[in-house]
Amino acid sequence: MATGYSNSWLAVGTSLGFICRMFDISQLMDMFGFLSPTVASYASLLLALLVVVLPEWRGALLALMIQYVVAGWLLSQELAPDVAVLKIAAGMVICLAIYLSARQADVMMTKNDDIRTRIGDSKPSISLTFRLIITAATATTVVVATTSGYLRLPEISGPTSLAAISAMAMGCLALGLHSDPLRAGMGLLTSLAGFDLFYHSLEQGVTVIGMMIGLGLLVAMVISYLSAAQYLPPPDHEENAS
Amino acid sequence: MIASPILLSAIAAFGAILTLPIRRWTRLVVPITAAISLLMGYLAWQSQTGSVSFWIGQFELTNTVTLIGRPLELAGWELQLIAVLSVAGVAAILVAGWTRPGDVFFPGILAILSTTSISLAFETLAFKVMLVEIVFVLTTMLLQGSKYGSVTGAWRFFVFHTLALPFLLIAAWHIDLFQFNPTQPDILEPAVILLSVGFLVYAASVPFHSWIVSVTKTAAAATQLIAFFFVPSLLIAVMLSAMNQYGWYGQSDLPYQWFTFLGIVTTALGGLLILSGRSVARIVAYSLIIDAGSVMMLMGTNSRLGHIGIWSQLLMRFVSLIFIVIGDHISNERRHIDIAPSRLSHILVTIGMLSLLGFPLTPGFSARWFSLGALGRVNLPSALTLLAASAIGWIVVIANSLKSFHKAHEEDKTRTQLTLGNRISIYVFVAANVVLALVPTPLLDVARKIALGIW
Repeated sequence: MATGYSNSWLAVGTSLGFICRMFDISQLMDMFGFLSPTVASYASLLLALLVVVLPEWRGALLALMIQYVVAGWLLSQELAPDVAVLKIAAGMVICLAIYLSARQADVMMTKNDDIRTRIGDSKPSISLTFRLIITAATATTVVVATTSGYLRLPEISGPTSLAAISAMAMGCLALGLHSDPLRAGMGLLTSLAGFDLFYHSLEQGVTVIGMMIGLGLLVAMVISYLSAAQYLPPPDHEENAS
Repeated sequence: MIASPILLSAIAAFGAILTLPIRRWTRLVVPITAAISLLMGYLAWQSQTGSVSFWIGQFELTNTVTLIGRPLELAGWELQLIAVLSVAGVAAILVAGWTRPGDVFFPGILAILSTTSISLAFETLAFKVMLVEIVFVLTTMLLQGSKYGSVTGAWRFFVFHTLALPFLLIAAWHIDLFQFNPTQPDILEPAVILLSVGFLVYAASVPFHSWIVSVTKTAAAATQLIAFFFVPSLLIAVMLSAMNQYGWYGQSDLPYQWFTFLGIVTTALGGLLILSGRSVARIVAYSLIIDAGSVMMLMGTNSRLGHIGIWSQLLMRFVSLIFIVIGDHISNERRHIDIAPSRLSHILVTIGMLSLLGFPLTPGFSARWFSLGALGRVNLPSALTLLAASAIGWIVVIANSLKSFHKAHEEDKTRTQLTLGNRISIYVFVAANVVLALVPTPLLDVARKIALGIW
């Protein structure tokens, strides 16, 4: 696992450099000229909802990736655009790292039936219907409470407040509904993305932003490590295979 | 002039990088890691005097420095705490060398010591909290190690601790804002609440306690020393220094009321849960919940004696866990070769669990009774709750131990062949327990120095 794991992080580093060099920042922001803060905040809510509800991890990861872009765009309204782009790039890197580990775990699980049985047995199954009902209820509560002004974060605009609160709430919901570190981890990242929206609107120091990006990458490292470790075959299995 | 905050952190970080490639050669990596940890302890201790002597000469040390525009300072008690953690690190490394909890343990513990010392040095709360989060990441990696299968313990540890991050960062923002607007004290009202919530998450208060059970059930025994001693020590240092640094927070009644109330709830819950404890992992987990509750109640006393009680309990927790880790390892080794757990492992685990609950004639006794005294002076209900929870724990531990002794007596075919080595080990460990129980003064003195330094 160690080699695959190092390769994942090498790929992550290379892509970070690539993403940063690939685009001109103003061009990148112009690509999202059609967005308004209100549309972006509802898009953020919908994407956070998809992270919780979608049964397949690839779909949830794609939703998380787009969530980082939307959150970055909302942040660009508060922060310097280049810093917001850096946050988007870090989000892409996080998603890439999780994708590589999850795919590796998927391959291991497909190859070994006994691992699938072991993991499958240990996971509580929460039905899609239940997830849909509870996420819809949470989303409705968040929208009603935020738009009516009952719940609003200080110092930030209404749409950003809605996006931040919905992402934090949905992320916490995903943490409660999923026991698998991969899916619950995506919830944690959604929650942190929502918190970033709020926190960076308040605290705009470059060092703090840099440290938060670093922490995000470390959280992603933990998620990808635990996701892969969960599906590792026991040592005697490896010996028998060889 | 060498800056001790940078020096201490750099030595441990360098050690982590050095030991990473050789982490699998246990016989080589254990002495190297232990030596680096010991050196760190020596330097931390010497930093209090302002100079350190080696055979190559004498070096002047300063405990204040500026890094990335932020002040870093290690106060006397922080240096003492780093020294204590480094020496405890040596003990943990030696135990891990024998029990082999996973090869990442050795560079991991040095990385944790490095991050711990730099986070203690940062004066700015936001930076301190973010560095503490790095300690959580490292501890999570150690708790999982290179183990396959269940990741519940490591995952829950990480999630429950990370939950505190948003509260504390927003509190830190309010504190910064207040520094620019000192005439508006209402800015600090949310900060008091946010800091208290964040600290209660750190302190494993109800309902943020459930990770403890998962960690004792799934993580390797030696790595639990990190999760239940090194990390809580850092967190309590962060909490107490915040109470000390921010006078408006330390003088507010709210955090002490919350700590006392939730401490009582946590202790009572631990006392009730331990009644259902049938396995060592569960009993240890519930004992640790009781212990966490008692630490919260002691924080709630906001007294000098309370602070001494906190550090005494933490140090004795480490000693108790060492007994449990060694006993658990012997038991696992024997199970691995289809032999029932030996009398030695039973004795060690029983001593460890009783010590964790402060049973008389065990190392934990002095700290628990000191804490009871400190609580009793300020808040009698909290002292009675702790006493009741501990007493329930003693009964459960003794009942379970007698039962498993009886079972082992029937199953253990090798009991008549108790070797001389086994016999000597039993005597040595029991003697060590009695000595630590009867002469607790050195450890209590260390606790007193750290506590009074903060106070």
